[in-house]
Formats: sequence, C-alpha cells, structure tokens
Amino acid sequence: MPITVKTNQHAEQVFELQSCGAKQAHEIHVEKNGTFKGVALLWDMRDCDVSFVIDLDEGAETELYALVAGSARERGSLLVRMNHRGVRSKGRASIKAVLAESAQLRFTGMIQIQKQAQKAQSYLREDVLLLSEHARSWGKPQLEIEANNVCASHGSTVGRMDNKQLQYLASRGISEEQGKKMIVEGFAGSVLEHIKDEKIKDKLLADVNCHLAGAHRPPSAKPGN
Amino acid sequence: MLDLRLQAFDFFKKQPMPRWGADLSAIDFDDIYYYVKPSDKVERSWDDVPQDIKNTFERIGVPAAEREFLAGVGAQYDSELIYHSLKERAGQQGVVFLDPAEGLREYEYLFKQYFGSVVPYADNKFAALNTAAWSGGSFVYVPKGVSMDMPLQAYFRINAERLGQFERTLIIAEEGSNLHYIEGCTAPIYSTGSIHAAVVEIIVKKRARMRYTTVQNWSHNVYNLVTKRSHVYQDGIMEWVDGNLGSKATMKYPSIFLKEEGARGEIMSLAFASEGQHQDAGAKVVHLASHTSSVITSKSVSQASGRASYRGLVSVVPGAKDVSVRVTCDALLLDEESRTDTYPCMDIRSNDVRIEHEASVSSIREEQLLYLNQRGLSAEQARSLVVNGFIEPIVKEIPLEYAVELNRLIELQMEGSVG
Repeated sequence: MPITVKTNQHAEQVFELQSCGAKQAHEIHVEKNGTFKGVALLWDMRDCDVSFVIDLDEGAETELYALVAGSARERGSLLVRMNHRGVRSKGRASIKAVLAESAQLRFTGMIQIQKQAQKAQSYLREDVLLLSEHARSWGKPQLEIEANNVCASHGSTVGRMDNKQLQYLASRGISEEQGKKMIVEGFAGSVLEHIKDEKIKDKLLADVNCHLAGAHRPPSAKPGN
Repeated sequence: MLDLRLQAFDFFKKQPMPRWGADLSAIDFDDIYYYVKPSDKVERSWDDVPQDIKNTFERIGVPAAEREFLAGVGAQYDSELIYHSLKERAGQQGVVFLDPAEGLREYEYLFKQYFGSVVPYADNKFAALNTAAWSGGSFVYVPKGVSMDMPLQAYFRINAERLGQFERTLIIAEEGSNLHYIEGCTAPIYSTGSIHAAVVEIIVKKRARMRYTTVQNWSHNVYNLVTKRSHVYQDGIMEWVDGNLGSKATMKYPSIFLKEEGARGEIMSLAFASEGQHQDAGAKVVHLASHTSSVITSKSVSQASGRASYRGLVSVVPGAKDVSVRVTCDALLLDEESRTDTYPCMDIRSNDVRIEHEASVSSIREEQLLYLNQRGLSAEQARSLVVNGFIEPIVKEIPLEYAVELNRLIELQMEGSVG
C-alpha cells in the first residue's frame, strides 16, 4: 500500500517482513519538506521479493534502515530505490544482511537524482556478513545522476566474521558460540537501534537470532542438502 | 581459419543487438568497410579533415607529418622505422611482435592454440563480428623468463600499416615473463568508418606480469565496442590501464579471470565524456581460485551533456578462499547537462572474502574555485586544475609522453566550458 508523507509532516514506520513469501512493493512518497524514517526487518526470507521505492520532493528527507537475516536454503531479493525529484532532498539508506547456511540474497540499490533535483544528498550502504561458505550475496548498488550539484555515493562490503574479534572475545572468557552471537548482534545493532520500543527491539533480535540458529525451519528443509 | 570466420559470422547474424548500455541503434552494418587494404592509403585530402581535429593536432603538439597520417590522408612517416627498431629489439630477447596475420603464418601452432581461447566468438555479438572480419592488431609472444625492458608500443606497428577497424590482439606471456604493451595515442584518430570492434586476448602464465595500457581518442563518429579479456595463472599479475576519451559511444569492460592461486589483477579506468558522447566503460574480475586479489579504480568526468557510466562485475566462485577485492568508482560532473551512472554487480558465493565497493559522485566545489581564484588562476584554469587533480591517480600510471598529451587534451576539451 502506498505511503504518502504530506508537506512538512513526519512519519515513521517499522516493517516486519518475516516469511512474506511473495512480492511486496512498498511505495513511499515524501512531499515537500516532509521526513520519513523506515526500519525494515526481513527474516525467514523464503522467496521474498521486497521492494522500497521512495520518491523525494523538494526538501524531503528519508532514512531507511533494513536488516535481512537468511538461513537454510532461503532465497530472497530486496530492492531499495531512492528517487530524488526535488531540490535539496536528502536520502540515506543502510542495509545489513546476515546470511547463514545456504541463504542467498539478491540486493539491488538505486540512487536516482533527476535533473531538477540540484543540491540533493544521497547515500546508500550495504553490508553483508556471510556466516557460512555456502551463503551467497549478489549485490548491485547503482547510481544514475543527472544533476551536477549533488552529493551522492554508495558503499558496499561483503565479508565473514572476523577471527580476530572472536579471539579477542575468547581471551575475555567468552565462548565461541556466545562470541558469534555478540558479533551478529553488534552488526545488526546499527539497524535495531532505530527501533525506539525496547520490547519490540528485544523480541525482533531474539527472532533473528533464533532464525539464524535454525529454529523456525520447516522440517523438510535441512541445511546443506 | 576461414571456417571459424564463417561460423562467427553466422553467430553474429543470429545474435541480437545488446539492449543495455549505449545507444547503438544508429549503426548500419551494411555501410561499413569490412576490410581496407593497407595500400588504399591516400583517399582524402587534408582539406577534408574537420577543423576541430586540426585544432586538436595543433594544441597537443603533434608533428605535421604525423598529423596527416593520423587524419588518414598522408603517407606513413617514420613509424615504420621505429617499428622496425622496436621489433628488432624485441627479437633480440626472443619476443615475437607481429601482425596477427603474420603470426598465424609464422607461428601457426602457437597462434591456433590460443586464438579464441580467452574470447570465443560466441562470447558476444561484437566479438563474433571481430572473429569474422579481423585484420590488423598484434600478436605478441614473450618466452619464459624474459623481461622486456621497454614497453611495446603498438601505435608504431599499427601506424605502419594503417589502423584496422577489427583489430585482433593476442598476447601470450610465458612463465616468469614481464611485458608492458601500449596501444593507441592521444591524438584523435580520424576515421570515416563508424565502428571499431576489437578483441584483445591475453594469457598471463605462472609468475608472469603483464600491463596493457590503452589511451583511446577516436573521433566523435566512431562506435568503439571492444572485448578485452585476460586469463591469469598462478601468482601472475595482470594490469589494465584504460583511458577512454573519444568516440561517439564506447562499450568496453576489460576483464580479468584469476584462474589459479596467488593471481592478482588490477584495472584502472578513466573516462571523459563530452558533448554527444556516451562512455560506457567498466571492469570485470572473476575470482576462480583461492588467495587471489583484485583492485578496480574507475574515474569518470562528464561535461557538456556527455554521459559516463561505470558498469562492472566482481564475481567470486564457491570454494575460493582468502579473496580480496577493492572497487572504487568516482565520478565528476562538470555541468547541469551531463550525466553519470554506476552499475556495479557483485556476485559473491564464498564467505572467506573481503569485498569493498565505493562509489561517489561530485562536482567542482565553490570553495575549490574560490581558493584557486585567490591564487590568481582564472575560472577556466582552476576548473581544469581540479579535473587534472581528480584523474591524477590514473594519469600517473600512463607513460609520461602520453600523460602530457592527455592533460593538454582535457584542457582543450574544457576550453570555453565556463560561461
């Protein structure tokens, strides 16, 4: 369902997108000087095809934080498109993905700045943590810039858990299992910190952890087969 | 070879035009000379050469005799001589440096073994066209352990024979060898042919090191559609330095396949898109083995309604361990009419990797101009200084004489850009 943020208004929304299993398009239109903040959590992403398209009018601002957790043989795709249509519009998107077992994520990011959208600022970032050697990340962060007086950039990283961090935690007496959990929590933390309600936050974190640990899994899908 | 050409031509006819990248709809394949005999040299007179090309020769300081040649109207000047001394010097070290047709005649076994092994004709439509119609280019063979002490400049070879539109280059660097190959020149190459579809195949064997430098400045009516690829074996190093200035539309993505452990690759790409141009350049790296690393640096400048795009691929196959990749794409937009795009694709199927990708788009900042104005530089000088600073990391990798010409050329293109 399209979301419209009216002129000078502010809106916030948390999207809980677990086991959505189908195409889900979110269209967000931020009118003049409006602000929108979205936090999206996507886990158990079997065949999920989620998209966020955010249109920004003059002076509009948006922040989007997304956390994706995949495990087993889930395949999901996520698209984030920020379309700058007005001058001085600002966009910021940060996507974090934790992929365990044989999970596959297809991420497409797009920053579009139209000719009239001078002085726009936009940043898109994708960080992927691969917990297993069978996990796969496919990423395509794109830029299409037609205005010259703008600041637009994207950054993207893919990597696995840092052994040095685990060693450090081990030297402090923390077990490997617990250490891994802490690192995932730290990684996901930058998305979850945008959820104000502590109860919801704790519940979501527990859900994500459970999911990565292999609960929620239907009996038919065993890992690695 | 004829069979191969016919097969390739068949494939070319069947293959649809690419629906992505630059707009190629204006190409008329029936209106192209598929083979020009080297003897058909003087066809045009100096007066037919467009004024802007003449101006460019003037500004970047191309010698008068060479100007006529580059414009396709004069006889070859002393490049024949330079080529012979270069060839002789290469020959003393056992390095083969020939036209591919000569290569096929004299080293048939070697040539046939590697021809099409890196870029098969069915790779894409334009590789097929090249395989069907190839003439000109280079065949280079560097024997085991030989380190060529000076760069091989294809410019002189190709000049000595007149440039082909369907160049085919095959370079084999044997174990432990080292070679720097340079093609192109910064002087605008004036050609009435509207398409340049070259294929470059490079094989870098164990512990060999190869650098391939291109500085391309085709005249603004040329479609430059080139397939460049290299296979790198154990502990080998491949470096592409790619400068794209001219042409109407360029689609060129130098690629590196890192096939064995310890192989490394680096691609440095520079694109300058001016009025009416679309530079669709990029880089591809495929990591097929463990302990491999690659670095991609791309810089593009768009001005006067030009469009520069970066299109790239980084791929890591399952089971490849200890892989590191760093990609940096920076774009500079000089005015409101221009456009820049970034289309990178990262397909990572292993977790023992360190992948970083960064891209940014910026314009010249007011305070930079103000600072330079205060130091007594005009707005125009200031802008070209900022542009030169922006592309410097790539330009410094290009041999000095080319880099100097390149800088002058960019200054020239930017002339009158301040209103």
